[in-house]
Amino acid sequence: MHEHEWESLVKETLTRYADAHRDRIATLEYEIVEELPERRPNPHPRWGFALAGAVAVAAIFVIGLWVGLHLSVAPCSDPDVLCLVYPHAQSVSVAAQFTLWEPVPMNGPDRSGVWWIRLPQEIKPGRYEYGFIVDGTRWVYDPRATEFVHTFDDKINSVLYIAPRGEQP
Amino acid sequence: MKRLVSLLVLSICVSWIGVEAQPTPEDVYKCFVELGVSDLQTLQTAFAKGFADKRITPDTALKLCQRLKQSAAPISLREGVLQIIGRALLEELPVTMLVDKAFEGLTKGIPLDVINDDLLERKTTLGEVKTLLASKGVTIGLTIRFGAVTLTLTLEVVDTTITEAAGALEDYVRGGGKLDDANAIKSAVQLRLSRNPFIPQTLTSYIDQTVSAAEWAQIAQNIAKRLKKP
Repeated sequence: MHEHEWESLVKETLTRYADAHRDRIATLEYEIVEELPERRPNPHPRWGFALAGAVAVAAIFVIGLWVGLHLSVAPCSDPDVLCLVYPHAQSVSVAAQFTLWEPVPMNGPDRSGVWWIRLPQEIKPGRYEYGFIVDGTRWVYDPRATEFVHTFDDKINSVLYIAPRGEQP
Repeated sequence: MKRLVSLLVLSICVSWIGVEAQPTPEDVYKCFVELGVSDLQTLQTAFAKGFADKRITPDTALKLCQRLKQSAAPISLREGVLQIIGRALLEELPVTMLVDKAFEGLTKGIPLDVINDDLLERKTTLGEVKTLLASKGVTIGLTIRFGAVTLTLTLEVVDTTITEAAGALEDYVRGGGKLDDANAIKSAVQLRLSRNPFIPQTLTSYIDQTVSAAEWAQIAQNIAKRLKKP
């Protein structure tokens, strides 16, 4: 049998089949459309998953933040970090020449009661006096400092040296 | 074309906002008026000179004025802080230490009469150090030759040197250092100068060779007298 004869035969058979089932084919589209809502997935469970996911992410963030602040260890070995051990303080700020003596809140306390703050990157090399303010009123010097000076009413300031970038202080 | 005009207008607005963000001398004078100073003219003249000489910035002066506005002390005491700094500016003294101590005192809640006394005392020390160093030729424009190194002093370097030397002497006396140990006093000054990265080593060496221990000790003793330290 030649190819064109084969094609004619297939076409003729399909035409006959279509004529025989004309009624069913006419309603086929409606049947499919009617079935669609039943097969469409229910959107509510997905919203639920999204909500649960968001809550989980928020919980991880809050727990991470809490762990970061309370259970972590302050990076006091970093020379660019100022630290003060004061476990019972409600708040600790640093005031320094490089902040124009404006108190800047410190992070903490960590699990050992250490409060800490990283020195700003833009700070110029030089000598700076500073101190800590505990609970908004009490002036405390830094016992880790290597130099101290007496100021007003014999209050004591700590001194730190910022070396030019790439040099040891 | 419309886009180009919009972009131009936006650029002008952004640059105008940028300019506005930096306080001007006029902002400072306005703050003085709001503070209620009695001698605005003198303050304005002094701070205008300070801004021109770059010994103080309008930003720092405005912050100081605003901090003084928050104080509950009598206006005469609050104005006193500005007047002392203003006089130092007119006398061409560096004011970094005075401004710094004013901020520190305000933060620590030190009474303003105590702050003013402290500033006056330190201003006197700055003047004495400036006079001593000037007598050795350490002034703006001085050219020092040390071996192969030639150094011409700028206002910033001279001011920093005066500030550090005066600060070292003040700290020495206030810290209870021995006033009869002239060598220890000189060492304290030299150490402070050598640790400041803005003061060239050549200048530190020059001062070491030209200023005697007795000369530094004399200023330390003057400080002790003013502070009534034994």
